[in-house]
Amino acid sequence: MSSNHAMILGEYIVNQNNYTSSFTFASIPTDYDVIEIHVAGSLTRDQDSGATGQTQYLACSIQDTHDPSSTGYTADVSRMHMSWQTNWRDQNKYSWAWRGSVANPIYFGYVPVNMQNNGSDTASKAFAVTFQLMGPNSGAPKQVFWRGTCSDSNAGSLSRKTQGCFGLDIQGNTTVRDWGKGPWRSLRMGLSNYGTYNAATSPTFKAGTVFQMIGYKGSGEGW
Amino acid sequence: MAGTTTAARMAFGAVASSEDMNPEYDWEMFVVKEAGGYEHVQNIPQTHRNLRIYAHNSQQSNWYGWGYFNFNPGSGSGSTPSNTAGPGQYNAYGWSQGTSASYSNAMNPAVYDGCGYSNYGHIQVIDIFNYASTSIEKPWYSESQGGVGNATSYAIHSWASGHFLPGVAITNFNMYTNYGSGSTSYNRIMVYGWGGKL
Repeated sequence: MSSNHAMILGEYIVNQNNYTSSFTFASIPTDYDVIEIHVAGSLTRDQDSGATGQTQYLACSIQDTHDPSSTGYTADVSRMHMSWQTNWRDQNKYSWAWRGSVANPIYFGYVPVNMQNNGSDTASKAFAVTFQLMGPNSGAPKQVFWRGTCSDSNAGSLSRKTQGCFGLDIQGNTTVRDWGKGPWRSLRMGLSNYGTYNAATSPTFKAGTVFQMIGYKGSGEGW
Repeated sequence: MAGTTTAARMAFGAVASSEDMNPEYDWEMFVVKEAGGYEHVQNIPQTHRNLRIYAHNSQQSNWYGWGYFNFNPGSGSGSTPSNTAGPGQYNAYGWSQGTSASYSNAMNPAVYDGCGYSNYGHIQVIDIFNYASTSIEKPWYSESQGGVGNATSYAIHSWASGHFLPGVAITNFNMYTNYGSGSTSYNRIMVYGWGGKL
């Protein structure tokens, strides 16, 4: 047994406003049994004309599917599966689940981080998400599960407790199956936006938002 | 290494080891204490990224009641001040209680919880992210269970979420119930810093 248990493996802190809309933890170590990735902070509103009060998501992709050039490998990422759920008190319980297909692909796991992201930026907004990546060395298909919170001082009714999961659909084909069973490689987290991305009007993380990767070690050999 | 996965893993290329990344140890114990009816925890070290609170918060007078955590109250019975209180919500569901216990407000004065009874079971876990920051919002969430007795059995599960405003770091908090009758014979508070040092 290893005597060390929780280690800080990586950290990124957004250092300026209106600049950063995504961050990737790449080369996630495989010699930990559980990897936790925490994101906590604030964001700016979506000013695109198409943003009319919809839910703001953190769009997440795994296994380098966002960046095939890093490994030379291109997975069929249209076949992801995911679910999420939000709760406001005992009301407004809402959930959504989807398995992508060739005809109706999905490329990300979606994590709600604001419930009405066209409100004034003078309103205080916040979100936190804890992703858990289990068993990087297991031969089982990998899935991220997560929980979090989002809230906005624009209205108390915009507070939510959130939870969900996502992964690659290994029924897609052999390539996706191999990739889906592989060890955790990377996790990219980017704010979704309406219209064409524009640094001046699309949502961004506010300065001080923290991305952090923590490894929990069990046997020392990975799960 | 777990059986047949090595080849599959190497197919994706070598991954940097933890030694190469020179990671630091996480988690530090800040406070362990018995808690009375209006317990005030002060001088929280401003050293770590996030704050974790474990608590047993129970009362002597009633099976059901609200438990409260206020942040930066300045005293054992004070409320969360306006420079700290942000939006929040909570929900509790319990046997015989249903879901009637819920509340939401744009400027939430406290972290509410369905607290326990006497020395019967209750445990609450609260995470506050960026608690020592004076520049960014501090999202938090709480979950708990309580109220399972050995004579008359009630069970309740509660959760709450929201955030504290930027500008003021979290330096102190209090814990009490709406009856204010908690006892040091069973109530406890543990506080940890985690997420690495600042």
